[in-house]
Amino acid sequence: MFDLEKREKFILLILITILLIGIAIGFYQKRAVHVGVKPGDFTYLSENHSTEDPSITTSKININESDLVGLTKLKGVGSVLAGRIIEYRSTNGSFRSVEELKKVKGVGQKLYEKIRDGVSID
Amino acid sequence: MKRPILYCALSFSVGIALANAAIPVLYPISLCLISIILAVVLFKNNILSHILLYLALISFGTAYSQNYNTLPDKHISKFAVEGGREVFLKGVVVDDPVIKKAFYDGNKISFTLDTKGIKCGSGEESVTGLVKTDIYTSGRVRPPNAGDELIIGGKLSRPEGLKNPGLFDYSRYLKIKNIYATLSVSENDPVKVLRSGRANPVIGWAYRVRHSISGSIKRYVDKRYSGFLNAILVGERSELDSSITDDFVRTGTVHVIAISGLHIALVAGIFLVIFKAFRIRKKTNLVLTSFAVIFYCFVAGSSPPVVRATVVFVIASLGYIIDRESDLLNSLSLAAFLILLANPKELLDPSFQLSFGSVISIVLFAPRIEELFGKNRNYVVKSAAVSIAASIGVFPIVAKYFNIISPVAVLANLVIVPALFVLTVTSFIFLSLNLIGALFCLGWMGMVLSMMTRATFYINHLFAQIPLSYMRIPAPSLFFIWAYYALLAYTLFAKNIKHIFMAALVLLNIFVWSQAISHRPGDLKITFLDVGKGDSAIVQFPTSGTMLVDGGSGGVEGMTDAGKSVVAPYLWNSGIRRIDAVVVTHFHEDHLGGLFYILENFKVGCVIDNGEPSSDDMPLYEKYIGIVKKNRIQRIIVSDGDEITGFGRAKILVLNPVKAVRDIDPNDSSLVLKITYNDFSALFCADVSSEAMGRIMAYGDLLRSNIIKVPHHGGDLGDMAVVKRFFNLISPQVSITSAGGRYRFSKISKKTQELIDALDSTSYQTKKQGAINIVSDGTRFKVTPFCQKN
Repeated sequence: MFDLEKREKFILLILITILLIGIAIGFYQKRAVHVGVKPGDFTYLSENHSTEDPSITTSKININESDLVGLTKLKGVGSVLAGRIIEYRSTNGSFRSVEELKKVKGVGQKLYEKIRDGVSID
Repeated sequence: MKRPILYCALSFSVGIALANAAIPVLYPISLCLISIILAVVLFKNNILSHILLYLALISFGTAYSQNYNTLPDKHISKFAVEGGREVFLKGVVVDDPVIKKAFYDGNKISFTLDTKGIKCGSGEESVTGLVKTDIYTSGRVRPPNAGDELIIGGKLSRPEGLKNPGLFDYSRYLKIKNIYATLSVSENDPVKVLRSGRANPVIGWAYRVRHSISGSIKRYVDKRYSGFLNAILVGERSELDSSITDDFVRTGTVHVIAISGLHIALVAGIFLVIFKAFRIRKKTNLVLTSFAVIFYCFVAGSSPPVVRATVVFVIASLGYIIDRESDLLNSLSLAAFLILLANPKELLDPSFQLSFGSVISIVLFAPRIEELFGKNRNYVVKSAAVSIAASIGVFPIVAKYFNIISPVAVLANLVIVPALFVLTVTSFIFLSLNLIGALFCLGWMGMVLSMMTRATFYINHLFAQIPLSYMRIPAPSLFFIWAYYALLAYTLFAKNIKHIFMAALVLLNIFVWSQAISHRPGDLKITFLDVGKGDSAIVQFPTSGTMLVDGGSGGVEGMTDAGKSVVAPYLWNSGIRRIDAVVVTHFHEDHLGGLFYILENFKVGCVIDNGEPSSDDMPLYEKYIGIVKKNRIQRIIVSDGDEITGFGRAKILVLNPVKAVRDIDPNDSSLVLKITYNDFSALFCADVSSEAMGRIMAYGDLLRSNIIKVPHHGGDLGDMAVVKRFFNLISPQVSITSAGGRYRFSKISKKTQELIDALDSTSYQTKKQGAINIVSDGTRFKVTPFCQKN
């Protein structure tokens, strides 16, 4: 169309090639990423057991004597749940076994298994 | 044709541009004198003396601009401080006050005050200088008139500078208008009119016409369309819907909304036809029309673009009246020279660059483009040529300030510009009928106007919907802009189309490659934006992928939307058009509000949230879910222990909320993320308080991070002993607090600040330092706050 000389054709070819490479790089950098989730099974907690704050996990928490703040130190137990535990204690008397925790509203099997090793009754 | 004025205006502009480099004023003055003397002495050598005279003009431009920018001793800016202080000002209102709806049903009355005196504390002093005044009132304060002399109390402050890269700089915009201070007046501050109506009677009359026009438009035209009509007729843009403006920006027809050359030409055309109908001779007609246009300039609020267009028109018709060869380029140059003489700072004004860029480009290139169409030159070809020429002329400026390129502009202008013409003429007929009190047909005419405006909106919206009608592009580099204009200048002289084509290819290469190498592979980049009160951070991952954590406040009618005004422009400006993951830490307005605009206007890969809306957040939550569903965005719900994958070597770990715990404060169930890239790590703490921290601390050493985003904007965090232990566990080198806000100021708690200070870390606040950018290669990292000086 433009009636190009040989040298001009050569320059044109180089320019277009460089341009295409640049565009390709741009697209490569902006390519879509597939975002996914690896569900956590609290492995990080168990792996890092030794490095944790000793007051939180190494000494067991007495669920019959501990107050609200003490109970919330349990992983997975917030102030609401701690309040329910105390409420259970005051209406039903002391826990006779650790397993009795499951009777507290909001403590399911999963949470129970998680905190079982961290609590004691005496 | 010889165009000496063109070269004079160009040299003067170059001089002004050079004034920004700090050269002692003595140099340009002496250079100017020496060049003039040499030119006179070497008069016989024609070319040399010409060059010397232009050199003299350049140095004159520098000296003139420097002198202009030097403020007098008693200038009001000396009293304005950051953060503001209470003062009383005495001064005269110089422009027509604009009344705008502020949020919470109030009004905002804005005008410019030419100050005469100031009283702060005990001392009273005389001052000079302009102050942008905003009165916030629920209707008690009556708006003053132009020319009124006032005593007014309020908070005088220095306009806040730019806080995020690539955004509209309000303080610079005011400085171009010679305003260095703002006064914020609240309901209870005194506003007292000392003397009223001392303005020029003609200007006063023009403002009355302005009010009467906008009043009758508002009365007879549907509310949805009157804002647009008032914008194109009298330049009153206060009630213009921003979504309408967005559409006009997208189709490259936004010049229709701001009164400028096109409108002045239309109005002049209307008057020329009217006067011609009375058989007035052409020269007399031009004189009369010039006066009419000058009057209209005041009616339209005499904003800089209107004044520029008026000056150009008057000079062009003057040229015709005194029988000079009518050359538009010469008239334009003279107009530019005079405007810059009046205010050299306008050269840096985007609107000045757009006005003159487009008009000069039309004059130079439209005829050449027409040639390409061959012999057949009907209306369509001519208009298309004009439109293409204008687009070519302003492309880099539009790309720089609006981050957009609109190929559809060529098509859209073919329809929208005639639509503007029809709308203007119909409005003129309507207003004349109103003037003679033809009441019986006004309601009907108002309806016709509404329908026509609606049709214009609809057509424009259709243009914006065409695929590839517009594209968001990153701001081009200064080098690219100069190279582009050099190429344009070259095409004026080049005969060989092959060479133009090659040069254009080189230019494209520069553009593409400067984007390709801007992001170094292997770098993790985190940018905390200043969104006032609220959070927003953008993470660009080493190989590929972007994540946006929160979007600041927004989504509420009548309030600033951080997503629209900060996050989106920042993303466009830095060339990000796709976000792979948008993280909603929790459903509070100052985190989620700004994200609505982002979700609607960007390609979003997925959204990540905690799936735990509290009952208070339901309206926002439902809106969010609605947008996510409508746009078919994948939604991922995460909680503690989960790992977000897909971003190459960078790991993202979710530390909060704890799955098993329900019914807690929404702040405490917000997502806490830890991003790790080899040895570098950053902890995003969202809004958690000591309660959640107590639980998160179970992660022990895993919390240790280089960077911490301080929880809850540095506000009150609850049990300080827990917070202290939490901070010590993290032991960050850098802490970033996202706080601020012009309207709803969020205070950084004293206790929290003490804890931050006690850490062995450098602390940054978006309120003070603006956007904060962190780049890491996986071992070391570098923090660059956008505002360095604080």
